[in-house]
Amino acid sequence: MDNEEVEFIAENELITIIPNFQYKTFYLIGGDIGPFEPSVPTQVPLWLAVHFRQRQKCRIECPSWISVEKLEEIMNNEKSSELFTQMPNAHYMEITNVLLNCAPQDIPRADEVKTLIKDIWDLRIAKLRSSMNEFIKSESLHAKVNNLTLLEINTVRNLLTKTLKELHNLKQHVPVTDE
Amino acid sequence: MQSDCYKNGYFNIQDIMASQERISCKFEIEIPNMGFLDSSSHDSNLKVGSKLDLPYWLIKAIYNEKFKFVNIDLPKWYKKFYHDILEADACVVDLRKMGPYYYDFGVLLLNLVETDIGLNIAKTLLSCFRSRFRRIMDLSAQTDHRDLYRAISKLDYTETEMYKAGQLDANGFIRWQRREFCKLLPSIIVTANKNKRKRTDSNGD
Repeated sequence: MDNEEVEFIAENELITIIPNFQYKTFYLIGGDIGPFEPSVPTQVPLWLAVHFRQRQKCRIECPSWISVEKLEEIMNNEKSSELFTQMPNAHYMEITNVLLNCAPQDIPRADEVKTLIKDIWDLRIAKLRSSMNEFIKSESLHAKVNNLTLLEINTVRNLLTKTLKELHNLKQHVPVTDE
Repeated sequence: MQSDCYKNGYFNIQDIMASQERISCKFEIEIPNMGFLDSSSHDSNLKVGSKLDLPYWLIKAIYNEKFKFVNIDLPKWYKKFYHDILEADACVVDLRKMGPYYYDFGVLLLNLVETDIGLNIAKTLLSCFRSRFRRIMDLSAQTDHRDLYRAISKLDYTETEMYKAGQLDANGFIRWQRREFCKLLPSIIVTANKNKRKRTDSNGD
């Protein structure tokens, strides 16, 4: 799975926009979207919001969790917890990345948000790596990890699967000790 | 029993190369008409006590519990002395030097040696793999492999494959973050031709 595919999945998340045009409801396979009235907030998928934003047809209303205060709180939770904490959105990294790219003007204090998201990401990846190392070093056969997002899993997918395969090959020759 | 040898499939080149590794053997019985194998003797028969380095696949095919035609001398990298070194600190050891297929060949060797020696080798391989994983993971997270040349050259083949997988992940993420997939790049043929055209243009001027 590519990161592009993960982003494609994330683009299905709904987001609120404030359109500046009038249009009737779209009927799409994934659900109905609209109707659009000027300055009436409407929920649309992220991909459509990006499309409208690039054509200056709307303003994107930032999701409530993309704010410096909220993200700082999340980061502190992440720092103090040994386990992975739940993220406000399962696609937090993808959504902020897309939004920061297409509509940085619509995000208050975009620079700080960008840094905070990156910090949270780095914290979580470091945690993921050290827990992977713990897992490989231990004798355990399985590990349960909650609250990881798809993109985070995707950053270790090839390495971890390859390593576990090789580890399995080597393990087959050592009888399991009863402990 | 055969399936042990082909963990990645019959035609896997890594397995084939690993089974090409040579093992030093001392012949226990005289073998008629095979003297040409030993280039140091002019006899037509292969004498008892002559020492030859035979590839693993050859020994594996003939050697078994009932027919011990040779006395196998374990490659020194798999002996107790090196087990101790690996136990002390596996991360600094140059596994490439100890045979580019250290793990794969080690696993193959288990089919030939006695159970208790084999168990020791298997345990050493496993603990070595486990302690070196962190280092490979850290190496693969760094993207510019030119700086890492020395470190990478100490990885054995299996580890290099893991390193490559890790690089794939790391580079994929960086590419995504830079949004490189959005950019349309000209085909290589076009860029190659462009350079050529430039040269002729400047000559014309």
